[in-house]
Amino acid sequence: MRALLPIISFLLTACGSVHHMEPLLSSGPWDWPQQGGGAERHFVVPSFPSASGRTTTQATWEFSLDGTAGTAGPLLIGDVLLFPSVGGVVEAVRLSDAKTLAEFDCDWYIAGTPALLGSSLFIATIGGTSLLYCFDITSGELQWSRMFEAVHAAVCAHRHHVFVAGARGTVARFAPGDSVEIWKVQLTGPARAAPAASDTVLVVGTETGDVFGLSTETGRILWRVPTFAAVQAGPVIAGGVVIASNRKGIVHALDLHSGTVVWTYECGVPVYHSPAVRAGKLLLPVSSGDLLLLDLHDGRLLRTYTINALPGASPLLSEMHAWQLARNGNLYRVDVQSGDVHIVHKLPAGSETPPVMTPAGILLVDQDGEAIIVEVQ
Amino acid sequence: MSLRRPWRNRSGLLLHILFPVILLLPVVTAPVSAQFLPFGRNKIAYTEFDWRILRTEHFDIYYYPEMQELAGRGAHFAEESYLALERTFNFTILHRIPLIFYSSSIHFQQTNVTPGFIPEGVGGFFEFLKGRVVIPSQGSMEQFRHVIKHELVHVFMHNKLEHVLRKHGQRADRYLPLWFVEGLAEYYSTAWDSQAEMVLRDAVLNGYFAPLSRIWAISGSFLMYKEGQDALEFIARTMGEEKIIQLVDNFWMSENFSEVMRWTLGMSVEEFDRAWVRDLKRRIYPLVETHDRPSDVGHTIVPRGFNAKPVYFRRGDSSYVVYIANNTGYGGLYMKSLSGGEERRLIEGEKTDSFETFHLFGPRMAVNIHGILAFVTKSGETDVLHLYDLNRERLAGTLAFNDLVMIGSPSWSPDGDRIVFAALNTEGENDLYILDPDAHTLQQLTADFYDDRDPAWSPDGTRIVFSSDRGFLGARGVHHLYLVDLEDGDIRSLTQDSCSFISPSWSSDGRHVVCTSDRDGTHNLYVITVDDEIPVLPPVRQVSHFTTAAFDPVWTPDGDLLYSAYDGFNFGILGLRDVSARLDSFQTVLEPRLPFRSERWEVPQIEGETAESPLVYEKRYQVDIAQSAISTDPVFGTLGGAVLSMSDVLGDDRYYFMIYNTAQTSSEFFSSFNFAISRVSLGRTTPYSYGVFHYAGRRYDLLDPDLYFNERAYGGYFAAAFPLSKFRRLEGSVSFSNSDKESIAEIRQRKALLLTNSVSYVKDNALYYWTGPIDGNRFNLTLSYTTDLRYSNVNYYSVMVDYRRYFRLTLRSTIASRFEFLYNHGKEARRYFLGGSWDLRGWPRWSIRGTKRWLTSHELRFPLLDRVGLDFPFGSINLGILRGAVFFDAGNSWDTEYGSTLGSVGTGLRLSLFGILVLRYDIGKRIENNFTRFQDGLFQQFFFGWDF
Repeated sequence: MRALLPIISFLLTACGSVHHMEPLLSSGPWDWPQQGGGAERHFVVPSFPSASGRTTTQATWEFSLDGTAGTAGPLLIGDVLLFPSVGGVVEAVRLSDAKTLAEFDCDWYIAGTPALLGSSLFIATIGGTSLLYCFDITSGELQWSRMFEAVHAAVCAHRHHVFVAGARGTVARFAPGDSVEIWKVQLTGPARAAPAASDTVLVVGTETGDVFGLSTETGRILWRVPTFAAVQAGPVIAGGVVIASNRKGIVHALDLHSGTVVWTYECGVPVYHSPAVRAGKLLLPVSSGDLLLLDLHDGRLLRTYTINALPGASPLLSEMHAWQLARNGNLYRVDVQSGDVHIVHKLPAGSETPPVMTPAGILLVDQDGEAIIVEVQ
Repeated sequence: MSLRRPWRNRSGLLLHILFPVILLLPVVTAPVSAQFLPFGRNKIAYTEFDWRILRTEHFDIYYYPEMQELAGRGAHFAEESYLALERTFNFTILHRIPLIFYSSSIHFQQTNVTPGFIPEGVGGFFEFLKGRVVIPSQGSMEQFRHVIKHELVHVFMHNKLEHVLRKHGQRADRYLPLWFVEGLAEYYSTAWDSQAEMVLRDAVLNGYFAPLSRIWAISGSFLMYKEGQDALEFIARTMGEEKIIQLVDNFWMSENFSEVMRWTLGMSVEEFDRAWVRDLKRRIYPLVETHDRPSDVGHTIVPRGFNAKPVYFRRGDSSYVVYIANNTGYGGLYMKSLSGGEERRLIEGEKTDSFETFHLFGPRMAVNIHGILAFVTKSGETDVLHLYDLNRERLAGTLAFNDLVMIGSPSWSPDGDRIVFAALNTEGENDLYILDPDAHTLQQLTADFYDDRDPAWSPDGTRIVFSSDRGFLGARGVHHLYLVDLEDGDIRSLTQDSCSFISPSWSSDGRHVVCTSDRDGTHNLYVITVDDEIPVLPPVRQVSHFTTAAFDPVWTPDGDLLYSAYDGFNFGILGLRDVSARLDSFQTVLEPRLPFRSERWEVPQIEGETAESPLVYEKRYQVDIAQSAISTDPVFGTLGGAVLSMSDVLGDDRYYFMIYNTAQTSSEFFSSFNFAISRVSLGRTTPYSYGVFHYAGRRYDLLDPDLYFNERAYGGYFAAAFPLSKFRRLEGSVSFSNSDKESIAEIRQRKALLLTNSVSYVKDNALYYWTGPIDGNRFNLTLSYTTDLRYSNVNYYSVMVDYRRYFRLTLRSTIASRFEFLYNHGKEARRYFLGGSWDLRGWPRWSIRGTKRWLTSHELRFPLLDRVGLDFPFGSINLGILRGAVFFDAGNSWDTEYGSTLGSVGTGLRLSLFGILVLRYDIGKRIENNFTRFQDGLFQQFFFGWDF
């Protein structure tokens, strides 16, 4: 933990003031993979003026993390990127000049993107003692830390509280400034997928294949839908519908409040990553190397885009294009109208940090912790 | 294609090189290669491979030019498997994977990637320290693909597991249970097949099936592989295939795999066992109603053990079956009368150069009208074809072939003059050949990459039936029977189905072919009636419906069948009477029909980035081991240090760096530094090593344990081994060192410039059991001479003879005898020591010392307990097996005056702990004064170490 002054000065100068930061913070966080979708986890690319679709492979921004990167995606807060690394450090880097503003030091592997709520940064780790951390991002101080289960996925921030799902099936709700959980529920199996929240419902998928709808207020189980195969891709909520995919490749669309099955779709191959949702359509990466475009309302297959590479993360979806990072390190750009697929950049194989859309382009991080922004024009 | 001379003609050449080696005179230093004991068999690099590298997207493939096409096909299989496994595991391997291909099992057994011997039946391995995968081809593309994918499953599993554990801050040296590891590899690389079904049925029906809670009892066995595969099949079928990889993903959750299973599957191991075993029984028990036990239908000729490849032989009025068996630990050739009586061993193999290895489940045998048996063993660099006169019961000849590495299933022509057989060449292609031994001609009948095997010559001499994967579903490993017309070369299908037909054999009238097929799940006997008039696939009748399986059937002239069958964990030899006469009573399972056109299949090759100019292999070294150690020695005292070893990818070239210190006080620290650097080269037929050393520090005088001296010696050495066969070798070494010795007690300094030479002859064909050798013999004769070239302060010679013989009494008991004589004579001759659990038992360790020593030991070794273990409520620990001994030792050690012979008698226990360490306890009485007196009281000794 260090560099208190840069954090304070960043808040006062780069974004103007704390007041300028508040709207961004309270509406978000733009938690991976929640760009534009908040706690519902839509993966929709925000309408940055520069995101018009044409791309070059030229890197316009570079940064080296102090450590290696893993499955936890970066968090974009205004002009600040929060990079979690395998070594347990979250680095705060200013986008405009790639300057490190602060480092938040945890001891263990960070597998899921942290959440920012107000001025509290929540980081969940996996490792020997599997600590949960809460830092004050304005002062840089550790507010509290406590034991919890290993958390493999992102922390979910929603309506001034955070929700954490653990690898032994415990789901808990915390408030900033207090390490004691407001409520805690034990589910039927491990939860590897990031929970999603909308309205008063928290949705969690487990490895036993059950998808739970919990009350965000009390933790009471509102509904439970068995899908009979592990839910490893985090559920996504859009328009009052929960989209949950499992390792058998069966996609369930469930009513958010009742859990009623609206439709199902069988991909035939495992689904490991959440879809992106936009304008009544969802784009689902499947392990056969295809991107499936389904109708959100009835689950009809609208289109198949063939990438022929195992997806490494959830896609990014804009009006005209989609971007998919594959396990072979290629970043593919798909023209959603024509179906054309191009490789726009190549990272080393095995890079699994989800890409993030920034005002300057797509942020990519490779396994060695080298971060670049590929210009999107 | 030319024929090499028979093996026995080679010995003359060897004699020419033996004498000069002896004349060089000896240097005794560390033995080379993997034989760090004074005995040991020889792993011989017969073939010097000209290694190349094929670089594909994910692999560095090491191959040699003869097998370039095979390597390209293997590369295709590897990349295809990689993509599939990347999806299955949802994991990417970040480094390039080294794959080392061999075109045959015999070449594969020469690999130095692993220093030890590779047993028969090992199809490939993954070496996880450096991530190397080593795979032989055996002629079948499907088998090659299967093994490649099997080993790549290990690669993915190992890497993913390491990633999962490290991510959770845990040590990455925890491993999944072996049943899961091997079951996983089989599950993802192959479908459930007839061999797996046979093994599982037999285990369930005969009550030796081990549920997961007790699977340690069959750890490492083929049954464990198949049980593991079936357990995973059960999980996939009942809970979803994704659960299998989840078990890997969740391995971090507990060090107890049962806990991981509970978290992932939602049930304990006991609950799983109940469900799984119930499922198995539900599937297999009903077979008892519809199928037969082999011994219920046929008459048993050889009931127990591992017996295979029967052939019929008639001598006078008596009929016999001749077969291969391994019931003692050594494979051999046996004969038994069909009217009863004891079996007789014709050849005891695997002890001598000529019959180095019998391939128990490999080639069949054949007898011609003159009573000459053709059979195959490994001998030296390749398989050889032996011709054995059954009437005279002696070997008539041995044939080896250039470029043919492995030989399969010979079959005589009706006139007994020619032999057709299958053979695997250096390119990895398994084709058919016709040999005329008298004319010394070899004709190649087929030439392609298809797996052609099991040829059988028709009684009229015009056709040969054989099994091949060249046709329908061949790409999936399905073999069918084909007839080749020797006149026009036309090849015609005899079978065409979704199952395999193998091991054909003609009836004496040439109208029927008996074979086996896995049509109903396991291999059973089928008869095909061949009618040349009708150009269709002939009808196929099913003769047997065994719950387990039958193999390698042959007709007798009377129309009976002889075959081997698997039942109750035995491969027995059985007979079925009057099959020809009863043919119409057997069910026709395939009616005559027209064959459908089947395209010849092909396997794509990947040329990689080296299509134009293949990369020549250049050695790059990586660390093998880096470790520290402490040891104690009667001469060198206690020392501590570190060892680092490095080797190239193929393991042919190794470097060892050793550094240690023997300082007793801080003032001695710098003067007691010792180091040694050695290079060992294993990639040649004659392995050699050389190095430099610097030894300094305190040494203890064996004359008086309170006396010591300081010595500093530095110099170099060279050593080489000349393997004569797998069992015999010559060793030679020379070392040159400067030695400065300072005796503390006598305040005397001794300088010397030492030259030491030694030569040894070693023979070892001993068979190891749980605590030590149980059969065979071992011999070591070493001559050594050390002289001081400059000061004449040292000048002595040494003679060492050690002979051990093991007289097998029963399968698990033996009388072990040893005679040893060590003789040193000259100025500053080295001393030997005697006493302790390893030699003269009952006498204090190292207490008897002298420049001469003799020892004889005789010991009866026998089994006591087959399992020593502890059963706890939470699980079981299997410690090992307990064996007993009754022994007699005698010997002495002296300088100038002999003194009296010492001895001991007693009894002891040996506990083989986990199969890797032997704990020894002896109790008895010392004998002294030339066996005239027992010492009062009993001695007890507790120590560790293998039996001699």
